[in-house]
Amino acid sequence: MEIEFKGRDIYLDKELTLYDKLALNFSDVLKKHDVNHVYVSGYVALIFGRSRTSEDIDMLVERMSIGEFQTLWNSLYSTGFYCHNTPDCKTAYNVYLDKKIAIRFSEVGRVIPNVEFKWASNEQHIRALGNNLEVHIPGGSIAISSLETQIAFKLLLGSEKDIEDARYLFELFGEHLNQKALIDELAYLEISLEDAKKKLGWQYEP
Amino acid sequence: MNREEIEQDIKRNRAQRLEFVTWYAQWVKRTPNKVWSRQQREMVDSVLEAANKKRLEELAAE
Repeated sequence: MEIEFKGRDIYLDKELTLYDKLALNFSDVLKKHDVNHVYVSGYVALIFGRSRTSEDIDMLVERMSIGEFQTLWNSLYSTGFYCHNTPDCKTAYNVYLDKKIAIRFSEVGRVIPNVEFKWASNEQHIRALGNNLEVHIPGGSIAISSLETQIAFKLLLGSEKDIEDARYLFELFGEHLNQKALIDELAYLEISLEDAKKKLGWQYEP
Repeated sequence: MNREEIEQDIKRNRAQRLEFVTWYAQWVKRTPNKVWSRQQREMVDSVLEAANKKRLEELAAE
């Protein structure tokens, strides 16, 4: 893998999957409206080559007013996206997002893959939003949560698939990871270092 | 097969999957982007296209 790290920017030349194209196109609309957002969870492993599939890619978005959301909604629809949950913007905002329920968007004519869109609504989400990396791929760039945050969060989620995603990122980026940041993230999520070492195959000795 | 054997089987399967993920990450690391990303795109996109087609057919039949 030829990859370049420059501070908070990562440069990766790759053939784009349908996930990458969806993430880029969706992000473009959000960027036009200065909406603070970040992709999290499985997509962080998928963008770097993990060979598995998922119906969706997860995104955290900074909460906005109903007026701002209406503008974004109109722009998404005029760009060729639609919401699976409801065709009504106010319902999406009041009945779903503000009740901490995610909504899903796809490109017209598709159901899979889709973007799972939700407010950053807790401290962990806010950390993910504020601690992001910009991945530059052909066609644009995508904001993702930091690798250390994602590895720790995946261990917390704990399903087989999540642990495999964490192991994949750990194995792929071992020398680029900030071990102190990873330890801090594990401590923040109250994950024991011993458990993390075992699941990640991590030879760390303090 | 008793419950204990099934549990051992599941444990063994998990360990093997993790071993594969480790092997695959190492392979991606030492493989040119052009090669691994083409393979990833072909695999991912074919699964997604098939899943999307099936879901659209299901929705049309509802």
